[in-house]
Amino acid sequence: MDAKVRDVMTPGPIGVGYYQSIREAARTMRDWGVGAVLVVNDQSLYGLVTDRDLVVRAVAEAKGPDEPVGPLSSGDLIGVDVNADASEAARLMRENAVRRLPVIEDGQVRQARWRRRSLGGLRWLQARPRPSGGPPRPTERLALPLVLPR
Amino acid sequence: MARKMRDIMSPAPVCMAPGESVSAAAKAMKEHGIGTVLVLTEGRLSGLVTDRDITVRVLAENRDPLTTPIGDICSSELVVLGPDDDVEQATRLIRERAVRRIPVLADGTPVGVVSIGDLALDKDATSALSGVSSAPPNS
Repeated sequence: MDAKVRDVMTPGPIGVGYYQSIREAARTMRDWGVGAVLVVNDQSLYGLVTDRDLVVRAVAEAKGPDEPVGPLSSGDLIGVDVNADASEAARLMRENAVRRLPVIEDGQVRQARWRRRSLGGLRWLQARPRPSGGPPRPTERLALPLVLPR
Repeated sequence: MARKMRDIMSPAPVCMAPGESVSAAAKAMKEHGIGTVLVLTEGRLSGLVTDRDITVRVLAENRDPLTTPIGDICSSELVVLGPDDDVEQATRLIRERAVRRIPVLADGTPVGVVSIGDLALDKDATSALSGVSSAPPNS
């Protein structure tokens, strides 16, 4: 039987607010050991920003670290339902040339972090514990459409 | 099917001196659509800087990209391969040393960089990772 997305995904989406600074987004990536974070605007998922985006869209453009990270993110976000087959996630990643997929459950973001599962294979959403005592993540319990226009 | 580094690597790597600024490296990454810059000291490979290095070692640390030299943030414990080394060696090194990209040197001269994506493309051109790795980079 095909693995389901819920079997391979990472719990606890990592996000930053649209108006948080580029520096804060970089620190989030550093502290969580991830290369991408969701960008949230007014309780809605706005997009995704990667470490590469920070470099080519901020540092290379001489944007200061205090500027908001939101404008650097990629919109047109694609997500996958938690009950979908893992192969569906793989197809969406291929077709959209993305290596990370937010996972949607009942219209709310549930998971978004992921790491490589096997060399030469897909990049899966995979389980990883949160540091104990941490504050609730701002991107939990969001309502969002599956695909957002930029 | 391609089996040697020369067949699967990304050729013509961008090389910079350790004294060049992080800003200059970021611009090169944008201009060339790459995530890795090789650092050369007196013509020899002395380090490697990635977009992640710039994010976690400069942006997150509140350092100034204009005045921070890449020599300060590059990774210097280098795993390298030769152009005639095979895919199995690359795969093993990437796993054992927990790196995601390896410079390829011919007689001490950098001739390319091989990454996990390049290995995925070689191993299985139909895999999701290979499809993503062959897509144009963000700019």
